[in-house]
Amino acid sequence: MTRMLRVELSWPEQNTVHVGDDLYFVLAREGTVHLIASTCAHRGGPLHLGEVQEGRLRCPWHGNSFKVDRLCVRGASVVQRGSQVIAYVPAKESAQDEPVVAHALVLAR
Amino acid sequence: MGTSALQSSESIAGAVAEFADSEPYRANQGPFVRANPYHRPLDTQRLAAIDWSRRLTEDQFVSDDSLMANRLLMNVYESDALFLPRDGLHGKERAFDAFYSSRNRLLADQVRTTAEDFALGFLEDSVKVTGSWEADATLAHLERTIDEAVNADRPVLRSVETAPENKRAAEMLIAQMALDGLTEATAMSQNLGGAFGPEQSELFKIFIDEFGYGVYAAKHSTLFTDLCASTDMSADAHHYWFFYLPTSIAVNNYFYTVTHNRTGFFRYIGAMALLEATFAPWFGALGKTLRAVYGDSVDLKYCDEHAHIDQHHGRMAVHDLLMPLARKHGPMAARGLIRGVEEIRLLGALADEDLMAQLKWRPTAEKSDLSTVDTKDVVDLTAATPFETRVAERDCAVNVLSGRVDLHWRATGEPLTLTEGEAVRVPGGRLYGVRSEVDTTIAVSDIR
Ligand code: FES
Ligand SMILES: [Fe+2]
Ligand SMILES: [Fe+2]
Repeated sequence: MTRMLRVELSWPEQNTVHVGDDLYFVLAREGTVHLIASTCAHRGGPLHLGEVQEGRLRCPWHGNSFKVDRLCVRGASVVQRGSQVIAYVPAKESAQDEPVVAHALVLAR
Repeated sequence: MGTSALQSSESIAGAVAEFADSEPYRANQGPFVRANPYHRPLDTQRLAAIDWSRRLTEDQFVSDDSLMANRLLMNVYESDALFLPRDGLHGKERAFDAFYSSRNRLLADQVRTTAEDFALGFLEDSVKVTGSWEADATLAHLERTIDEAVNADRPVLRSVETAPENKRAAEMLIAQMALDGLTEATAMSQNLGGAFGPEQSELFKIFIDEFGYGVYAAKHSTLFTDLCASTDMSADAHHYWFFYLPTSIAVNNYFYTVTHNRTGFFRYIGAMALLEATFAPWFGALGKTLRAVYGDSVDLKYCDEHAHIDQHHGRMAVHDLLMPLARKHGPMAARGLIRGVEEIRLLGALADEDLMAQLKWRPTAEKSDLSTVDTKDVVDLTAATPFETRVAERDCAVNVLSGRVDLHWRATGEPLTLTEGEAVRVPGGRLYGVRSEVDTTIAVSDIR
């Protein structure tokens, strides 16, 4: 079972959320915030350090690329009002992890 | 030859002798070097017989001088890398100190370039790369070469599958692979430092895969260890020291040579890119061969991992590393890159031939022909005589005049036992060693 954790970010000062070992990052498209899981489905590469080209986010490790539209559709649940962002991210029922918001180096844009 | 060259080859010989005579390189009693990464026997007498002022030619590449020089060179390089015994250092503290002693490191530096030139200098004569290599020609040649390698037959794997004792043949192949497998990506690590632009980061990305993203169980060398364990082979570094063929050691040394010397960087990238780009299908095929030989018991993670990740590494090495370097650094770099591609292709082909000849050789006991025996070739062996392997310079016969001797010629499996009045033929170029538990007299005679 997973439970949903509520987090509040003040964007763009805060652009990442850590839950345990998981990292979510803000991918902003024309001022709209999407919160995307950073772990590449291939080998866990850091998607937040990838590059967006022609609508696809390219993983920096082995170059697999993912349609940004799909990533956004599957992103965390987000409500945004200007710079105020509320998001719900999943955590394991058993885990004690609390989400931590932070500012990190995010290259994906 | 000028006097200065003569003096320098004499002083090289002196440094080689002192290095080889030090504790880590002393003789070993048995055919296997057990659980001690610091013990790598070097035969001082055979090393002393080498004339360091010349270099091996391509047709001397499979020879005893090549075996000795490549063993020496490997020790020179590997004493610059950290090894710790799997079961801890207890009782081996002295060996550790001796292996990494400043004196030995100094001697290693003194002999290195000469030994490199002796063992691998023939590549300069065997491979010629001239003219202007623009990016288009570089890519065209690279793609064609990769294509040929990917689609070539795999005669080594066929020889393993069809060998009468196919497990022993597979284990001889695995023993050769252990040279690199147990220390995988050590040569690659030599160019992680410095500052050379985006290509440095591309190299690092390949490296983190080789190192399993910092997870020990996923590190390629750990996967290799698991393969060894599943075939009941030892995973201790250089357990099979005596059974490395000269050409296998040379391929491994090549990667150290071109990474230790920064001027070899472009050759390194060329050689590495060709291997990475051809490994995926090769490891796929190797996995099938090992499955056919061992059935379900063999752990093929090592093969499966490379069959997958080297599809990426091949593309990354060619398109994100080699080609950007060729474009950015011009014709000298491009010639180095192409040279590396060709050098590793040649070395690989020579090593394959050597291994296949070793796998094909099936020594059998026959009646000794005493008329061929010369008294000067008579050697006494006892249970205390250290073990050694050598490469037969030409077709010869090992004759047992009295006593009993074991002939070793492969990494695993029973040796061939010969008793008084028996002999075994050793074809030129083949690696073998003899060991006796009782007082024995043998004679090695040429076959004319
Ligand atoms: S980890 Fe992302 S492409 Fe391999
Ligand atoms: Fe690897
Ligand atoms: Fe690789």
